Amino acid sequence: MSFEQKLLKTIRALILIGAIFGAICLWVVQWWLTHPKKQPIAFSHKIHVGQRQISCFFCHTGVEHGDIAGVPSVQDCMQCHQVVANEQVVANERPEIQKLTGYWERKQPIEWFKVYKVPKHVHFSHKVHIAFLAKRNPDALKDPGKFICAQCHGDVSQMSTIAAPVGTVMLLTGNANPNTSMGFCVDCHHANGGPMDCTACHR
Amino acid sequence: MTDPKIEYNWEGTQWGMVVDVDRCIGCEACMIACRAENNIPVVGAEQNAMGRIMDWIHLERYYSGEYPNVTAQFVPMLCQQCGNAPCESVCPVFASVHTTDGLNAQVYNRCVGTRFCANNCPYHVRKFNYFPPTWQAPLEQQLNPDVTTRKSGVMEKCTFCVQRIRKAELGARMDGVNVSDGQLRPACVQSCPTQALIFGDLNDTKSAVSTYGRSHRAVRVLEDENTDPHVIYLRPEKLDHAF
Repeated sequence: MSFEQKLLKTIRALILIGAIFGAICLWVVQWWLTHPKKQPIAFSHKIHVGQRQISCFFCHTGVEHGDIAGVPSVQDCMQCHQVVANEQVVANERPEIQKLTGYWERKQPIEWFKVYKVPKHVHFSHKVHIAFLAKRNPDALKDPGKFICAQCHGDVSQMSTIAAPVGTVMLLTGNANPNTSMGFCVDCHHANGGPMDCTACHR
Repeated sequence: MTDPKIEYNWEGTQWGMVVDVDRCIGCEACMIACRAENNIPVVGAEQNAMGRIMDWIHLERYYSGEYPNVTAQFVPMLCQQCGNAPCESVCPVFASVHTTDGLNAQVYNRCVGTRFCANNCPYHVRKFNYFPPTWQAPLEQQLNPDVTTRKSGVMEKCTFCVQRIRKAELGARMDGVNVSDGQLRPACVQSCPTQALIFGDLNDTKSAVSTYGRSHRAVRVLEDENTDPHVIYLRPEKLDHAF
């Protein structure tokens, strides 16, 4: 085997190793950016929205009247859970609800990990978007989770864990529906006649 | 980039302001209100001495007359929201863009800090963040959540309180009406004790700003630069050499 052939072989091997290494790095970065972070309580939207058919507006009370949807307080959770699946079950059977009761008894708020985030320079208002979608489709408010919230948040009734939205980093999975990228916003604004100037969101 | 000879005919709502120089008493309430509303950092004495003060609206003083009969004239100077803005044509990244309602918008997240716009602004109202803005311990709790806190290396300027404009517009749109004249007031207009500042739609012929704009006292600062400012100054009745 001549020197040139050896050199060529080595270069090929290096390129192959580099490509594999690069792909692993990309996958790790992608996973690190998008994997579901662990919440203090394994709350399941699949049970509450999918099985129990609770409206999104029942817990996320700020969503119709304010900019921020809000996360329910421990008090709001305990409104139901003082009765539902708390007293009549043995303590070991529902560990997550026992955790919730623990927070309630310690009078301590739950430090939820924020999943849906937009950058600081983006000013988003839930109220306006819900009003617009409800105006366009008057039946939407009967099942807001399906007709309104799902437009951006996906079908949460099928999600036991809310995955972190794919933001501006879309390396391998592509552009998913739970998405807080500017392209996703602009596409919808363009299609539905939303305000298109920069100061609508960036101010 | 733009032909200076073109006369722009902006349609729809064109936000504008009237500054009555005769009414201004130089109390600087507008400057304080602007700081509070728009999260403007305090840069400190050292930076201030280098001319890096961050005021989106500042007062210019003009003295006239000889010693016993000296008169002072205050001129509030803010971004003129030029229709034909010199800052927009030089921005390499389109951080300084014009909105359809006559605002000269500054998009902070686009800005890369070339400072070309500030050099090209004939009014000297663009302010640059030379250092990361900081607030002392409890003060970061009072920041206005509707306004982005800018980072270092970003140009900023008066936005006519665009967060209030957009809020009022969305509220009006949800109710199916138009924003009425006088309903919408930026922080400086709201805080002015003598009502020297008036805000409204220049294209609405019945609004207060367009009524004052047709007055014989109405002038625009550096009008011969062909910048088409959206801020109209009402010249003092008595002394006209302040401008």
